Amino acid sequence: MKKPAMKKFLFVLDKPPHGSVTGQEALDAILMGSAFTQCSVLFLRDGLYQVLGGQDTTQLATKDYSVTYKALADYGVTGVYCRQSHLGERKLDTSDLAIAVQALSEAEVKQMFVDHDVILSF
Amino acid sequence: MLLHTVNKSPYQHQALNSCAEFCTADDALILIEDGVYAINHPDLALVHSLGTQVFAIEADVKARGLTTLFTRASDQYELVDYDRFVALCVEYSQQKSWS
Repeated sequence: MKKPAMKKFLFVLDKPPHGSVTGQEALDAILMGSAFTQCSVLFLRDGLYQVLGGQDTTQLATKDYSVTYKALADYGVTGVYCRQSHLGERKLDTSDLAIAVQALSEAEVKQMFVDHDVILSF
Repeated sequence: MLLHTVNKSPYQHQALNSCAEFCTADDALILIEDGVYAINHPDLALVHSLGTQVFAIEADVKARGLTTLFTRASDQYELVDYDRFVALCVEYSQQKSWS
């Protein structure tokens, strides 16, 4: 298989926001990575809560970084994905999410891993 | 061809369960750190049944007193040293860490 000259990065997030700084670090890395190469983002399981709409961290006195996910498109990150069943398990729909996320089947997620050169997990 | 790494106990974390969801027969899994506690967990049996090759870091297994448990299942899981771990990283085109 011939690899493209520019490596494709897949950022996989599977942890919820606010309980740890993992999501914020992931977002920083995605935005930085997108300046250099083609990046896609995959939300798995509780990672979906990263982009759930209506987050309000005022009382936590922390920055609501979830709004920054809306900047992904401006940074050229157009491939944003999740697994359909992970939405369903959480009684969520893509319309509940703050950004456009494409829901994939199990087979499509597996293909997503194969289609990228580097997988970074958060 | 993915090399999956799992470094958390399946009794406390979802890492192995998530990994099992997306493993294929072309992939391999290596248990590192607390990931080796998966030895008798059903999710590890599931990964194995998918045809995924399963490895574990010998140093982590020994440190946790799990050698006997791994020896019993030696036909399914291979204990490896750090040099072999590095070789596996090179052998597989991508890595996916579950933690």
